[in-house]
Amino acid sequence: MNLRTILTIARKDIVDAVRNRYLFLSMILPVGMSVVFRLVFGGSTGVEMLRVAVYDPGSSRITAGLREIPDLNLVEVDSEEGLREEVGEDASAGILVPPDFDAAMDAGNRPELTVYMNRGRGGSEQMMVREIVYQQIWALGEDSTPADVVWKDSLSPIEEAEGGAVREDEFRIESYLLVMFLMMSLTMTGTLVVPLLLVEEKEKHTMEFLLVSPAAPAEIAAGKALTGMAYAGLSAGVLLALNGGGSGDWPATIVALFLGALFLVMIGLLEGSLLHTTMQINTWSPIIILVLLAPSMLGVIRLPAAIDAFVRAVPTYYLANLLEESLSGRTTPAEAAAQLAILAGGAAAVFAAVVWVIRRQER
Amino acid sequence: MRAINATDLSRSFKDRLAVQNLSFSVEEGEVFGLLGPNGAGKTTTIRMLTGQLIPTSGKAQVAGCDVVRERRVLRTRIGVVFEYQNLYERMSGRENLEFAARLFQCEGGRTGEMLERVGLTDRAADPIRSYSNGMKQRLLIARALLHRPKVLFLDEPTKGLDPTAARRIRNLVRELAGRGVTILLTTHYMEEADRLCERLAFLDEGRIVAMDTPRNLKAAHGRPEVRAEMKNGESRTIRLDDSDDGRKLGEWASRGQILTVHSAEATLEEVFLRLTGKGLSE
Repeated sequence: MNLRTILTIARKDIVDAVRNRYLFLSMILPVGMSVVFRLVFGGSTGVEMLRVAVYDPGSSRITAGLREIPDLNLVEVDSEEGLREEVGEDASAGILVPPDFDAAMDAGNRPELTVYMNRGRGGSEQMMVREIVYQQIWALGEDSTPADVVWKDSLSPIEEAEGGAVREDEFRIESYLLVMFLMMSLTMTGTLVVPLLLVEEKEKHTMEFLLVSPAAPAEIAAGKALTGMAYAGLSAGVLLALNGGGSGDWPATIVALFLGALFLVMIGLLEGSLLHTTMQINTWSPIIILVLLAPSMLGVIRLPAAIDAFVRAVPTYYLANLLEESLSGRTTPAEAAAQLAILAGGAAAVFAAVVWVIRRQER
Repeated sequence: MRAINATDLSRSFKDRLAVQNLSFSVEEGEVFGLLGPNGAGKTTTIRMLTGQLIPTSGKAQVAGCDVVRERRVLRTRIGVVFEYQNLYERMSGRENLEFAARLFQCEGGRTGEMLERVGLTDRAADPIRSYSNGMKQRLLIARALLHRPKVLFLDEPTKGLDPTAARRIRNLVRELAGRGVTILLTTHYMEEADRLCERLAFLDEGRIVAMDTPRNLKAAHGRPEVRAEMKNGESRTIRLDDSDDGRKLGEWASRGQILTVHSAEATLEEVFLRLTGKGLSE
């Protein structure tokens, strides 16, 4: 591989892609959506639309914390039955705090906090409830989670939520939205911009010129990948800057973004190697984008087991997970390493497929 | 010294044999033409000789390089002008050449020199989409010559051009030939091949059906006769290998009875027709 050749091709594409209105739009769309979102919703957290019921016979510190949240419509009830009635009507959720919650927590016994979710409410409300509950619990602990949360469905209060189907780990709405925009940006750059760079060369027959130049097919592919990585890095950087992405565990965020972009750019290279026309890209890319974005869109809601298994089989599930954790500053080294290994392995596997396709086409 | 040497070169695509046992050589500094109708195997042959396509069997050397094993070096020694005008449309003429110059690691100043040579200095900053077909073709030739190739491949260099632009391209080819560049040209324009090529090969269904100089091919397949148009409106055929006919022609000429005389030499189109039973445009 000749680095100079790769850089020459990448430099040409980086300049030329900006002149291509379609590619440029694909690249700036997620950044634009993020800006529009901020302009439309301003500093609103959405908490003002929440009505949360709480039954706390022991008057715990967690309820005191909930009372402090500005704009939160907190309804304190005097029985567990009253709590369920509230959730069955207008409340987004109901929190059942055991009488000895504070004492158990202080003793390090990790008491259980039961939260009844009103499944009739929208996904965004459910997300905000989760954020609020976890924020309060984390505020009570110093270095670890001082309590466990059991999520229950208000429509079937006895049945416990399936742990595997809902992310039981920490969740923050700001992080969720930033993760969504980052995922969208990386996915669109990788699976739309990169294959279009390759396919345009085929359609305009400029690929034939490249193939009689000293550039080897693998160097041409590497040049396109480098362009994709540059644009992915640029848009991710802008998104992080606009949305306060420097907080949390930023080194983990950077590594996750790098490996995630690499995986998605490799998918784009494979797509560009197999397909030959812009029309084919326009047909296949939305499907591929949907599959790759599904984990970040669906991961926060309860899913049927089959769909959940599918979502977990897509490497972007681990990218979304890792980004959420790193942006919230809640990464654990072991988990992060496992998720990064999945992304790196995915990128390596797709790269091997790209090399195989290119070599086969050379024949 | 041979610039191109192909031996039993064949290429098949699934069940279709596109090129079959092609053997020919081109001397250094020679302009060699591959002629044939669409689908005869001209472009497949060029793609194999330029290292874009691996032959199914046979071997070939171009500019001293094996076209399969030494493809990387080969690409630095050849220039290719494709059938398609494959330039980067959003980039300017100068940017297109600068990109190629960086790929081929050409020396500085070569871009400006080539733009001047093909008469495009004034339009160098304009985007390619504003160029005429003739201008694009000249820029393609400039791009192919940037790295001073030893062998230049021209695939249908005047296809789709108006007569003025085509003449300009032909003049450029003649100029290059005059400088000693080896040129392999494919075309289905017989007149162009006749004017430019020192030798040519007729390709039909992937096989060479004849190979020689245009003059020899025409002589071998033409008739040794002339047709005299008389002032009285008659048309008479004179066989040049018949002494009586030659004497008669002299007499008519001395009496001022002849209006004009036409050669009956075969055209390359007719030679191809006689060899294959079909026209070049089929």
